[in-house]
Amino acid sequence: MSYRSSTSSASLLGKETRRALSYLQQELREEKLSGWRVAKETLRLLRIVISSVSSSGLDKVEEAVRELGQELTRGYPRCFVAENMTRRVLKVIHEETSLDTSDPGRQLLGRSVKNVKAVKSNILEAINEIEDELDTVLPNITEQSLEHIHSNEVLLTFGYSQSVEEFLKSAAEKRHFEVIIAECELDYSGHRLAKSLSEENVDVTLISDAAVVALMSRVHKVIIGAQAIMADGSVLAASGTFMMAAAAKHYAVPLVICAGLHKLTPLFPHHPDNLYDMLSPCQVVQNPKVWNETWFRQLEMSCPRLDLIPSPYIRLLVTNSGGFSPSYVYRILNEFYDEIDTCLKYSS
Amino acid sequence: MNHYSSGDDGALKAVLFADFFSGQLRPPCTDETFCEALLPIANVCLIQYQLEALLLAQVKECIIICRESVKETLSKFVETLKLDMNLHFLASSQWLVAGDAIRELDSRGDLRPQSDFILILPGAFFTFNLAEVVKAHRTRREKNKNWVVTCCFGQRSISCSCDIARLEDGQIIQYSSARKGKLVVPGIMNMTDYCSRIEIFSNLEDCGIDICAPELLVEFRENFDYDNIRDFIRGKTDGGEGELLGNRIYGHILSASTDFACRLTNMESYFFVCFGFVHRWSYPWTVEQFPFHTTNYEYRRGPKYIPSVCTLARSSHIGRCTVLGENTCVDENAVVIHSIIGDNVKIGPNCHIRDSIIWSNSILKSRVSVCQSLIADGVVLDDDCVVSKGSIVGPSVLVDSKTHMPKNSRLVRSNLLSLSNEMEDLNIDSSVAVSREKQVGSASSYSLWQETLDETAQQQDSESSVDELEQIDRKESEDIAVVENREEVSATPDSLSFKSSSSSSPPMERKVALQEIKDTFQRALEEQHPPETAVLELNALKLALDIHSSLILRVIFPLLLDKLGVQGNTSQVTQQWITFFRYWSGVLIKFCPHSLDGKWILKYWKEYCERRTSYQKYFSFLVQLLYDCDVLSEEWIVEWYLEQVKSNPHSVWIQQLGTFVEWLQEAEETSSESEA
Repeated sequence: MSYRSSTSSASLLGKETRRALSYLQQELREEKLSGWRVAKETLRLLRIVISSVSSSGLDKVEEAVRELGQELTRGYPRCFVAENMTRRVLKVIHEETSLDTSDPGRQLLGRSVKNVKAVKSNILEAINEIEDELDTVLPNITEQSLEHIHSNEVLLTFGYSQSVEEFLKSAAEKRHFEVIIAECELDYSGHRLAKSLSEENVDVTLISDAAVVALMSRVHKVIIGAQAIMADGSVLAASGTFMMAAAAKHYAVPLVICAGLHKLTPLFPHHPDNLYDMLSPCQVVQNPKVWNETWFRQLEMSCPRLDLIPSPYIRLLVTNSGGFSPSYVYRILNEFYDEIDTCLKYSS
Repeated sequence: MNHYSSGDDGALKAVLFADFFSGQLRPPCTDETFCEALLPIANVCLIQYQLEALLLAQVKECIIICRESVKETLSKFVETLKLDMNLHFLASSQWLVAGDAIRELDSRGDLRPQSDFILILPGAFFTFNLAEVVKAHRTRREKNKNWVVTCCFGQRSISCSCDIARLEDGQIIQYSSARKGKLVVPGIMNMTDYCSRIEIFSNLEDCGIDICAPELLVEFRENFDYDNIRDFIRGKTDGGEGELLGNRIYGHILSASTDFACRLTNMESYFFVCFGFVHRWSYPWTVEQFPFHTTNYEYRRGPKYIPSVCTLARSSHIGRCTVLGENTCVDENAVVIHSIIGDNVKIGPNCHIRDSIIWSNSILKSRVSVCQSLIADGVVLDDDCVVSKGSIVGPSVLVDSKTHMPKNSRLVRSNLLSLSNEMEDLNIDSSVAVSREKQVGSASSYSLWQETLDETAQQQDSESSVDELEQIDRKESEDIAVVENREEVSATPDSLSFKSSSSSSPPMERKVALQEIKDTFQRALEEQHPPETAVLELNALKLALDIHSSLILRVIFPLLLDKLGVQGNTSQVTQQWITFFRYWSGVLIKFCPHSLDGKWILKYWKEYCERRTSYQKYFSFLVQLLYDCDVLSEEWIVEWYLEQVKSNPHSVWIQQLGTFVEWLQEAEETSSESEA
């Protein structure tokens, strides 16, 4: 974990970086940051690493970034956004270095040093670009809201998601519609969304998760946020959303996912158990008194933090670069990530 | 006296007990160099969890207290962890109880905490962040210096043994632990004296985490009879001293849903914590996510935790709730269900393991069956062994083939037996004794661990009626107490069908306790001990027997009265009484802290006089005498008097006492007037 000094002696991360890293990990663990914040923080950390390591050579930079990425994978709850940001920066590094090697004069020591500086500034610039892109994620998503939400529609959403909140709010400025919110029993974050939407004079109905199926026939569209978009177009979202997706499919209600592309992950959900946490059973069984019953110890309780919604259930992904169907995801993947970075542990 | 600053200057310190100072977890911990802090919970030592949790609470410096013999092992082990924390060891082979260690800590200027510190009692396992609790403690301390201790109590309890009562502001006024059958809080009547609103919690888990002020150390230095911190709390709440010195103890009740804290005290709780951890109750700390693992665990539904490096035969079956260690080898047709297997364990073909914990480096050959048992490090179980329910196999034992171990048996290596005998001589442990060695099978490398629990003794125990108890002398009563302990020990390894087997009933215990107090005080009276010594003796008994101070009063007051004589003329008698009570008043004051006790004294004295007419004329004299000696306060006397007047206004006692009470009331008025 964070505060333990690395066991590997060849660690490239300096003491300062480690401290910053442990700080980020601690924050991730203690309070729920929005994916957007996490991305920002990760980029900040990456910038520190790159500028501190670059003096010792370009290949070192890549190694250091990988190492940071690995550290971030180990953090929990697993945060795909942080990994993704590392992968994007890695891709930038690959591009820059390949340009660099094509330069015939690289063999000369003096030019190489100069080039390193140039490459470094290029990389940092690219990071700045990614950061600018992050800033426009929410506005880009919300400006599409009017294309998807029509007047007098009944929408269903699940729990709290920042992008969904902004999406609905921007549509509410122009159109009148009704929103049904499932409260998300894991953390009751739906209450937060209901409060903030009702302040904007949206018609809000808060329901329990169990009532989703019963109400589905009345709903025109289901809009939810996501924790991660997987490589095959399936989506990781709050626990309980799969039930909702299944109900939506049964009633042929379109399921729309609102998420920025910083959540796009080049991993396939082959082994769902590894993708998300199992929480403590106390979320399910709240009475502490049953705890010392003998039969109770024989029970097996699972309380997953996230659900995997397979791509066939999803009609549309609304992202900052427009809406597209899940089958299109693989195309965007190549735009953002290098194939060899999918596994951060790989080292050349 | 040393000056203690109590601000939050300097880094947060923690004092961690790595040693239990008890034999609750013996057999597996028989080795001199092995201590309870090294007990593995899902293949990671307890002390690692503790230190990690302390790091989470921003502790910068930690003092680890242990016996001299285990210090080396521990320090080597802790070094490998590379923690970002200053660790100091405080070790000695002289300590018998935790209190000694605390007193030693106080005398060490270099180690003694100067500001509030976290005290972790042995066996505390917790995964929540203590920082919040420490912060709350400090804010309380800033407002009022008297909040010296914050105790944490968990709602998810294993033993359900702890009951507390606390006031609205969280001050603990009653604390009782290790109850056997009887419900809550002794002396609940007294509580109405404090406040009208009291919260009573029962079935809590005392999870052994305290935030203490440095003043606590002074308290321990001054009271040599405090064995551990719980004695301190009991002393504060029961004796009424809490009021006198103004020291207050805050009871922090942990959240039932998110905070996981338990205390390992015996085998039962050890199994409980291990499987609670496997069941993910301690989230966010789980087997696959705990940071110290060098092993990469993979979580599978079940829950099952399979390491990346292990060999599983195709036909083997790994059932639910199982943790496999690194390099574990499970052979063909072996079945492992609901068990925790350590590193480098070899499980042979057709083995069957259920509800068990196996530590590292053991070898189970073919067709071995293990059920609800603990197998320690480096054990070899040969072909066709059967280990039945509730058994413990100690470290490095070799068991022959076809051995059938009966239920609740314990195997340890023979040379360890002699070693633990030595420890017995040193008085480190008095509750477990080894009496006879019985060989199992043909190999002489191991022996059965036996408690001195003869069947005859057991019979005696069950047969002795309450009447006979009157004649049981002190020695025998001690014996019974010890036997009781042993029964508890022998019942503990039974991991899943936990039955409490304390056969002796509470009233009998109480009788024994009363008898012991009586004997002690009688001796003190006869041999003319100085009253201070008597107080110390009685206090020690009180803490040892876990009884309330008013109970002691009820024993010693009649004894004192019996000593009074009425021979001779009035002036002789009064003179005699005055000297007698002047001498013993200290003892009475000590054990008569509440108004109810005072009223009881008056009532008892009244009834005593009713029975013995020769004493009648001295009734009001003794009341005055007790008043002069500060045993009875004037409010108590007046209150009692008024109650008596209501119920029976014409009794002799009322008339006798009338003048005195009038005088008291007048004196009060004049004193208040003069003040005005």
